[in-house]
Amino acid sequence: MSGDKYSILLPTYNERENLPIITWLLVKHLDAADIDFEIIVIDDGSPDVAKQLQKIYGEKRIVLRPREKKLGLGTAYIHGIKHATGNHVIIMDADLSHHPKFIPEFIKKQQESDLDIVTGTRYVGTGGVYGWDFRRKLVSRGANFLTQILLRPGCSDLTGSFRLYKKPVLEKLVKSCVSKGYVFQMEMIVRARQFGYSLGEVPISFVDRVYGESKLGGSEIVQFAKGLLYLFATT
Amino acid sequence: MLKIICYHIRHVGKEEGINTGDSLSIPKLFQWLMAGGAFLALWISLLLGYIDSDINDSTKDVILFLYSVAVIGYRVATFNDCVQSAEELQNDITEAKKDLMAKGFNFD
Ligand SMILES: Nc1nc2c(ncn2[C@@H]2O[C@H](COP(=O)(O)OP(=O)(O)O)[C@@H](O)[C@H]2O)c(=O)[nH]1
Ligand SMILES: [Mg+2]
Repeated sequence: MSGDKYSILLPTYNERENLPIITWLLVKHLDAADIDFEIIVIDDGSPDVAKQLQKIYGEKRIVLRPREKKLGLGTAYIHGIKHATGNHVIIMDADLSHHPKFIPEFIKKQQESDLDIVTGTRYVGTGGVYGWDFRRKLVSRGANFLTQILLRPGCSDLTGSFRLYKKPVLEKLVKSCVSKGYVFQMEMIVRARQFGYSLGEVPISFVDRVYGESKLGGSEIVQFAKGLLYLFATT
Repeated sequence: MLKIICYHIRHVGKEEGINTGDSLSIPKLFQWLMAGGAFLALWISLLLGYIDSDINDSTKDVILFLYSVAVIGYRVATFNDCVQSAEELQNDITEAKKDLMAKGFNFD
């Protein structure tokens, strides 16, 4: 071990089925790779599941930072970072679409060339998705193509949210980003490029959530189009 | 717009490939074929006097359209389906539940 510590931010809202599983998988894969970590659960509304997990895994590994009500994903990250004690922060969804088995690969990639950010990508190499029909793939690829041409971000998966950051890098980025939802993830990378941060990618398989439903859905495409236009016009 | 596309063709490998080793997900051969195809189309149309000095707007649109359709079509068709990961996850869930219950976790 290198003295590096990884704080994993898990923002959760109505993830009572998923949270125990993701926690269990995190502990399994990170312990197996001898990685020093803490899991920070930012739960909006129903912290009882996380409390049970804390009893099992201990207060050092499971840190609870609940909030009273649903306050959104962006502020959940800000809230979580404040309490992170690691020198790196990993952000991922708690809905099992981001598998903890990839984290050791993220860390290895980061260490290889002391990168500021490592991001998971569904669009390159062995990366991919499960549970997407033709329409969803088409929209996803089309949107990605447009983004690549307009923003040339040097990152193949701008809307993904499975990423590793050096803690100070994430702090700076979160402060300078104003968007919400998907656009937030895009803006983080575009701003990172402006600041000259280095970035690496690890192919991931994205398995659509098994339990519960997406909270960001709905006007996905409208949100995305607006965000793309905003970033195109301002950066 | 055409400028943007040419730029894209030339720089995409370099920029998207940062630290990934593997650019785009389009094999090099296809990248060259697409770029080559686009230039060939231009050259032939110039040769036949189909366009005189400057390329007219509708031709640009057609080229842009064909390029986009080709790239997006190829990427949709080659979008990996991670069937194995999905199966693996199901096994993970079963195993996790069993172990957590043994540790005293209560899934109501
Ligand atoms: N704390 C908190 N977590 C949230 C909120 N909205 C979404 N999340 C979590 O953020 C992650 C991504 O949300 P999800 O609904 O899966 O978005 P999608 O994958 O884009 O459809 C999940 O772990 C959610 O539980 C929120 O308002 N507060
Ligand atoms: Mg999700």
